[in-house]
Amino acid sequence: MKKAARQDSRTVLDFDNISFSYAGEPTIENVSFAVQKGDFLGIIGPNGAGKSTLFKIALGLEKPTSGSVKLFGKKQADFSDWHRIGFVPQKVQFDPNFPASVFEVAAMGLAQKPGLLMLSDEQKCAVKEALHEVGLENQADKRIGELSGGQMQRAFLGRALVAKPDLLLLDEPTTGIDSQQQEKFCCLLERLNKAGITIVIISHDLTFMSYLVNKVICLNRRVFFCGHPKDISKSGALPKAYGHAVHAITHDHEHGA
Amino acid sequence: MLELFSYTFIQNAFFAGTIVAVICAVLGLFIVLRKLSFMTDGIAHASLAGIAAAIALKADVLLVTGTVAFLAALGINRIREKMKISGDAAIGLLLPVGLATGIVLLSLAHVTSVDLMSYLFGSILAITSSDLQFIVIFGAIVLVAVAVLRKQMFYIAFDEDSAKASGLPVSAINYVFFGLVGITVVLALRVAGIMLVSALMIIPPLSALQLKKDFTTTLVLSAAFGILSVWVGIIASYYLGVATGAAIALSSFALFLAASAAKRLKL
Ligand SMILES: Nc1ncnc2c1ncn2[C@@H]1O[C@H](COP(=O)(O)OP(=O)(O)OP(=O)(O)O)[C@@H](O)[C@H]1O
Ligand SMILES: [Mg+2]
Repeated sequence: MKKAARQDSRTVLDFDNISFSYAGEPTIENVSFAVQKGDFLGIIGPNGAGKSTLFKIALGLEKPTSGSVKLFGKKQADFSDWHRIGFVPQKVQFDPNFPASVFEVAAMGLAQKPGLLMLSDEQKCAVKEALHEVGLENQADKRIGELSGGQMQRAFLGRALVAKPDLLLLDEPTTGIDSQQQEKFCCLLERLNKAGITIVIISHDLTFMSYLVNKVICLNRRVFFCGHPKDISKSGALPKAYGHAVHAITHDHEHGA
Repeated sequence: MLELFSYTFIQNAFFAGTIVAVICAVLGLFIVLRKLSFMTDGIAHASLAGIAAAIALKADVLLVTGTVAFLAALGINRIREKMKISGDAAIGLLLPVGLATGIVLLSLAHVTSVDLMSYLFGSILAITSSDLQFIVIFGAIVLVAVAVLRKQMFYIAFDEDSAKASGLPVSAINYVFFGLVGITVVLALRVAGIMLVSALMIIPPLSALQLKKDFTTTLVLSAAFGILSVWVGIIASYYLGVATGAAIALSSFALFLAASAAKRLKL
């Protein structure tokens, strides 16, 4: 992709030649891509490919060893409009006995905004609306630890939606969600995307992805494919990206799939 | 009963005790949820160095101890953050240093054990009006800070990583939080003493947590349990003639038992 094309004002997220290593072990090498406003981008790749790490770099939780990230045209370090980004991590580490209702967890999404003491009526409405979107409006008063795994996942999506973000970063949000909810979930994401929210989703579910997204990136340390999902199989990138890792991780299995 | 309240020292005790109970229980809930309960004891022990220095230098005890505790709390946070040592281990690192410095200073200054007793076990009935001023001013600072940062501290206590990912200035808020804990421990020292600080900071939140409510309710309940233990403790100590700090600690524990029983019986 040409530099000029990535620099226009519609660029929401821009990775420019990013490399990163954990304790000297290269995890990401020379990754460049850009996400434009309105994009629905899927990231696929085997376990340990560096997908989650890429999100951590975008959010400033890890510093790349080289290259630069821009959010909404601003350098990562200078970015401050955090309410414009909603993030659902792959796994939220929390104490299941934590005294927080589902409503309070969703309201955490408003913590970056000023308006400190109590939630305003408008904010309460926003929280209720977000819980309604993820189908948890009837569980609002339950404690978060009392939800099922899939419901928790949806509560965290609600938390990411509550500040009405322009960009959603979803790290395997559908793990543990049943097929009925998954369908609803797809519809929700489609609807949000149509409403102008840019979405980047990490998932292992290729069919799910090809049906939803308009652009896919296949990652395993470096970018193996970047383009329309219909082109991915004939590009031959999948066996290259997956074959390697499958080979490296499981020696005693023959590598099909 | 009413004659009790005609004494100025009892009025002072109730007033100071109530303020301290509230800030201890409120900050204590965040401490318990962040699994840093050991910290209150750590800072309390470390502040013995401050008490010793103040007695030796004939300086204002609350002021000197407050500074020491404040710095100890910030130090614990810095060690935790920069050296990637877990919170409880960082406390374990500083606690003996503070305690040992205190003991060395005390033996150099030839302080008698009588002076020390009130700091080890608290002396709420001996609170002076300058103590009271100190407690009111710093109590107000702590309460305002918690009110302002409540949502952010709640998010961080729930899940520090997500809080960071959502762009909150987690590191800065942590320094403020640990600083507030330092101040609060010193205020609690005056009421409960070094040995019994956790009766004010840890037990009321634990009692509130027994009832398994949402966060806002738990916070209010925690403060209520704290206030109640201080009131019951002062009254019991007056009529039974026992040490106030100990009476507060025991009533706090009795309330904890009551709360767990209430939950079990689904009252
Ligand atoms: N905190 C960490 N410290 C050291 N190494 C790490 C850390 N987190 C991840 N790694 C390593 O970095 C590599 C990429 O991890 P990452 O979590 O980004 O993979 P992923 O593509 O999200 O995988 P998955 O599909 O399993 O979620 C892995 O090899 C992993 O072992
Ligand atoms: Mg991952």
